[in-house]
Amino acid sequence: MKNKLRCAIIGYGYMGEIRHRCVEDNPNLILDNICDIRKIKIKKNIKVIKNFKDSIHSNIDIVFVCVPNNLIPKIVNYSLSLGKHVFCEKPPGRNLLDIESIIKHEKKSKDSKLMFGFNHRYHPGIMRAKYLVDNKKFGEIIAIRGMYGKSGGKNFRLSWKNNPKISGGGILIDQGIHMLDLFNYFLGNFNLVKSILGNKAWKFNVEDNAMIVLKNNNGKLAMLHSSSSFWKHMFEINIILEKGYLKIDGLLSKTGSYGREKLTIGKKLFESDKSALGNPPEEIIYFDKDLSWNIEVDKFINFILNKKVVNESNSKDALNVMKIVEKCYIDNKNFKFS
Amino acid sequence: METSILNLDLKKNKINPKIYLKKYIQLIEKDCKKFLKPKLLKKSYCPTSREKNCSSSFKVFGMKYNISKKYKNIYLEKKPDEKLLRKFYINSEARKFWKNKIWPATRKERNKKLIYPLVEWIERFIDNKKKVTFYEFFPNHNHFSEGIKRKFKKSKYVFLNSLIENPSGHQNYSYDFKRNGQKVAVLFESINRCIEPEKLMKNVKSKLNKGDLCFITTLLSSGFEIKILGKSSKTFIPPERMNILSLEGLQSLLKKVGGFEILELSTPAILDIPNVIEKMDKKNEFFNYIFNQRQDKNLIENYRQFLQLFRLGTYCRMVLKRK
Repeated sequence: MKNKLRCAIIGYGYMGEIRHRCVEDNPNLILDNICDIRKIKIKKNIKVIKNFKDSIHSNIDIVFVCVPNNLIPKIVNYSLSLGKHVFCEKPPGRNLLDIESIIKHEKKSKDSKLMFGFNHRYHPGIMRAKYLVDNKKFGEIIAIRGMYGKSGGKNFRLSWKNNPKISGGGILIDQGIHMLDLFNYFLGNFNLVKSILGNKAWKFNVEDNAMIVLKNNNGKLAMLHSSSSFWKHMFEINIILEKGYLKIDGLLSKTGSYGREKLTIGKKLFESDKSALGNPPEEIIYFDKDLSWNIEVDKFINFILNKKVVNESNSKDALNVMKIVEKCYIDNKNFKFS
Repeated sequence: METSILNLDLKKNKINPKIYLKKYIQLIEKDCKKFLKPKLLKKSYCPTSREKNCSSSFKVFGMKYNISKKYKNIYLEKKPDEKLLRKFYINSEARKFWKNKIWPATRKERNKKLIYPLVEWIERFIDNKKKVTFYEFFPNHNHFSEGIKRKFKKSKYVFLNSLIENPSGHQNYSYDFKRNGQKVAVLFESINRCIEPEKLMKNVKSKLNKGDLCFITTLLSSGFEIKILGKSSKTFIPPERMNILSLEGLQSLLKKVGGFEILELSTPAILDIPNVIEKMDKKNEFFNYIFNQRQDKNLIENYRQFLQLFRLGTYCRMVLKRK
């Protein structure tokens, strides 16, 4: 390819650094500048700009939006209004209004491609499970149960993620949203959402524990426990199917703190095999390479270069997951945080 | 790269009943002496590094196995060529015995515990509704192909370098690889059985297109059974097992050939512990203690999982993707 697509990364925190690596890894991309209001240290000779409007100049093709939640709609909408392609980290804003405003701008900017960073879809365990589910190897899904949480940590109190004005919520919108997106990815069409939120662990003005139960229009069930007080990093999703079950636990990450990612595959066995009753033989697949960040960027670039409609992790997916999140918060509007 | 932990309830005696196995080994020994006369064999070197020197060697049925210095690959010092190998398999009394006695007696168990799980494994990577063409290299029976065709109904199955006499319904030796559609190479212990693993892998590489898959099962010299039992392991059966590479030797060979990404590398280690218990030197206090004296099923089960998790089993399965 003669001309590489020029990129700007807005926000250079944890996600900005990851996207920087993705841009460097993708042969179709070249980094033009990084925008951050803070003083940041970058090893290579890359332009650093303070004002995001200066960063998204006329030569830019793609904007990676990696900023706190409250800034997302402003920057995404501005980029779309200039006809730029936008890759936006999750969550897609603080609330339903934010994503709805983004979708309005997306509709006006017809040539722009917009994709959201629901990278968990591209983790190896999830991809393998999705393949097995889609191929109906074990029949239809009956229910899904997920647990996703972290330990918090020394500086957790200081994080903007616990300031509702910036984040829009607590652990649910920060981390639980990934699991809700996976529920939509595997099942979707949830028309019944019930939630209970609590903040007894950290006593912030946002939830530190969220219990969500969902039912879709085919009667399939899902349940999530999202928490910032598991006191250990934990990811686990159980998919119960007609002829067996799948469990993904552990999540490949930079620090390895969620444990080694593995997929357990079990078959439904009844009395025909007495020794297995209630405890069937399982196969466990261990994974040791997480390419999720690169895969989603590669897919995004593929949509742009081939002028294809973004049909995964798109604004519709973002809207669907934010509808669930919003419903969870509405369910708890009378909840008095300490 | 993935590693699978399997939980197969495989009983050695049910797939290889002792009464038949003893006779089979005796016949193989006779066949080796009858067909694989030293003057007909050609000198060979380490299948990975081609180094001529070896660290040690031992004999089975009068045929010498060398252990290479660098990778600890174990290989026959003198091998037949493909024509002689084929003649061996077609005329071997042991193979006839296997076909007429062992297979009928163990067919049900082998299908259930060995062949169908292998087909399921392939289905994890390829949709069985797709039209694909399977190429099995160096097959010495058609039972795997029958199992695969049972599930992949729209697929074609072709034998290459076949060691079977008149493989009905299969094209032999040559095939037009220019046809469209996904291609899948299957090497069920073919690396152990072939004459030159490097040549075999180069051949596989040349036949596959980008994105095509290759499924391999093979025995490894770095596995627990071989490391503990050494030459007293029953793994060494010439010419069925001419090359037994170590994990490092196999990985290095693939690197040397190039063009493949390893998607999965697992060592299920299902029979390692039973084989070690059966044949190990009773003076080995530690293993005697944990496998015999403790009488703790959980300990054995966890030890087996440890072998799987760290790829220390003798039997290996692997999925490669053509880059």
